[in-house]
Amino acid sequence: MRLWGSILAVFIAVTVLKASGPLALGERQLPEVIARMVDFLAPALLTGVVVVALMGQDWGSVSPTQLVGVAVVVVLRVAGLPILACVTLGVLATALTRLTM
Amino acid sequence: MQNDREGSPRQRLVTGIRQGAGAGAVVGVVGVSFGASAHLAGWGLVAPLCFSVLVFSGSAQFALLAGLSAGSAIAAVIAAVLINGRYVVMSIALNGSLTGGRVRRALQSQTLVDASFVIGSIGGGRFDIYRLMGASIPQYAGWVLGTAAGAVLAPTPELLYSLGGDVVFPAFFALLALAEVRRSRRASLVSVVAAVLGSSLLLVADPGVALLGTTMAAAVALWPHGVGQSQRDLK
Repeated sequence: MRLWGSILAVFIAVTVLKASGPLALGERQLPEVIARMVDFLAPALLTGVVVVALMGQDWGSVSPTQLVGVAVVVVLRVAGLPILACVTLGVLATALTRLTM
Repeated sequence: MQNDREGSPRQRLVTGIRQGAGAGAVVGVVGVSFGASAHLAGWGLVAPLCFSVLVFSGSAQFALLAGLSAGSAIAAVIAAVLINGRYVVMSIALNGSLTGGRVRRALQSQTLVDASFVIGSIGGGRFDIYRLMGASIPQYAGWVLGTAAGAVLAPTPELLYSLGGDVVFPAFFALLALAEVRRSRRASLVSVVAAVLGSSLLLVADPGVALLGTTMAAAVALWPHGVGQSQRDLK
């Protein structure tokens, strides 16, 4: 019951969070100054997701082998490899690093 | 990820599905990890599957899983909600590109997830809702199927870790961030500010608050023209 109640609570909360813009604003448009910021939300948010995923609370999740994998992925992408190849090779690099450590 | 709105709604939906396929594969791997972790925590098969079908949010679901394993259900739910606080900002940003009344817009906004927010962006603070919805379809399928596979096969977290499965999620988002950073000098500056904000906030707040805080880096857009701005920003 505790599990299902929690699942239901998170479901309702996430639904409301995702609907908060339309519910609060309806058909009104954002002020110009906010609209300019919106264009830069994606790089801010994506960087945030990466930082939070790699570091964790109090930087307790920092894993050098994970950082190696992500670095390999980014370098290969900059070098022009397709996304799937970059991620596959990054995962392999991490697995190999862990095997040898 | 930027270009103008072109084609019929159906074509734009298909474009979104195609562009979201890579994200779908990545989300599937993360889904396996969630399903396996939930199974290991004694959730069985039905609960994690229903959770993924209903909520479709990796960060919130992992937060609830970790929180319930640690103790208080109320604290676990609060953590799961906090980590998704960014959806308020994203939902407000998206609203101007939605159509219809409040209810129709609220329903459209349910397809919002991080990668789709980027794929659906067409620049100038506008979004192509059909492309955004299309991009969410393979991710939803990947998340639900991945959860089911993880709960059924139940690979141990140690096995997933040794295979480097934990790299997939941050690596994919790093690639999305890289594409955004290459868009302009100002976007690069936003990314650097977000990294500094996020890493600093992690020392004093929980990950959800830190993630929400990184969105403040977008305020760099308000700096005077010429500061970290390229020709592409001026378009």
